Amino acid sequence: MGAAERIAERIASIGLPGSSPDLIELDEVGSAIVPMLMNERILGVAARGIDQGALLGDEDVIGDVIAAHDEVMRQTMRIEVKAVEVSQLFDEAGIDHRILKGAALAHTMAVRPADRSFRDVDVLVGGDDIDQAVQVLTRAGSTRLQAELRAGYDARFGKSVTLKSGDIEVDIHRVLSPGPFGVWMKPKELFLLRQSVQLGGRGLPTLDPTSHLVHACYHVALGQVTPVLSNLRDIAMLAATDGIDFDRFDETITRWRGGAVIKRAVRLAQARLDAELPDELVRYVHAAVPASELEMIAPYLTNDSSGRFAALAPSTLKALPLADRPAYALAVGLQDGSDPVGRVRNMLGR
Amino acid sequence: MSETFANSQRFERVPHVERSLARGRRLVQPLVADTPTQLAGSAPMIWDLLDAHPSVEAIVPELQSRFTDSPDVIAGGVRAAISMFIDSSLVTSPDDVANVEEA
Repeated sequence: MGAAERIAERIASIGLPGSSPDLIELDEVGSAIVPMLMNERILGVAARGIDQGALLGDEDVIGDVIAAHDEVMRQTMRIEVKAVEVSQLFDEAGIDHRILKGAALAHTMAVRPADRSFRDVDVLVGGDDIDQAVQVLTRAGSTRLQAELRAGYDARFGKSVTLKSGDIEVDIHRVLSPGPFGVWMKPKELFLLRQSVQLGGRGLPTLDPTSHLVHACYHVALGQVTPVLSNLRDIAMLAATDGIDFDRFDETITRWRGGAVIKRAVRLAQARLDAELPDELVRYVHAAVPASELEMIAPYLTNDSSGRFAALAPSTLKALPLADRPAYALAVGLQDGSDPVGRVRNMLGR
Repeated sequence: MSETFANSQRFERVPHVERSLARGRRLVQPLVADTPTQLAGSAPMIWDLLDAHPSVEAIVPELQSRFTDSPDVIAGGVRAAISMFIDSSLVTSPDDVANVEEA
């Protein structure tokens, strides 16, 4: 591990329960730390560390970190304004929704909103509402990035639909993750409890803290092979908040067959953060998980984002109820079972 | 620079999002704007006070309890900050609407 990566991990751990309060010197790596902090999306934690005297370094390096954070915040605020607009449009159309991830976590979990940047708007809607949600945003000027695979696919099988509004991406989610673990989750449960985040004079609906923690774990475990430090920090921060109901967390993970997901997420957080995670999470690392769930993790672990859908298609098919499999196979091109990955690639490449 | 206004004139912050930056600065972006405005120095404090104290004459006593400057000096600083808020479309004044309606 390089010096910049080591320092980034220490910065990502600032203020986490059980983290070392030692001063962090930036001079060893100089301004090379800036792109690392940007990639790991922890410039906000670094900027707060500078204010609190936890980060020390040459004034030029400190100035570079602050300037980079300023710029990221300018972008983040534009996206936040878009989140307010999307929520207002959905309210006016009567679409029940929940703001997910960055826009919500910045105002609920972060020590201060500027700690947490984000790059797009993520919003959850019910499967029955996703077509209308896409229509509402399209009428308001957004453009859908990929056509629906087959009529009815989004509402029945899709993880999310991505639209572009100007240069801002808006992801309308039906479930929190693609593939088999998306099939096994019960997204309607995410609408049972509601929390609000005040933005731009409006109360935007979002998940309750326990559901945010579930989502943070799924995002870390199933999102990228090497998740960014900001996402790992989300887990540690959420796990330390007062509103977490670990009994409900456990019940949800059992119902959603997500033990392998939490196991991987907690392991990744432990490996890179200097933080004490609560026993209720750590015990997932040592818990026995059925082989049928563990083996479903493997297809997610690809750095090739364009090949991810194809990699997940066979395991998604396997996880679906028998009655749903023909429609899914028809939509993604798996109908005869031959060379499924190639068939999906061909279909997406058409 | 914005037009002159009375110390009793009331102002309201427009719907916005904001972020605290390092070294006491603040970014404020109205929902209808494309880019944020940066507040520095005493402007973030006056911006915060404006939420519950909508005029110069309401803000000055609040700042007098925190600083040793004379009321006139403080009022000058508050007026300068509010002028900047007006120029950046961060505030509106319900009194402007009332004046138009009366006219």
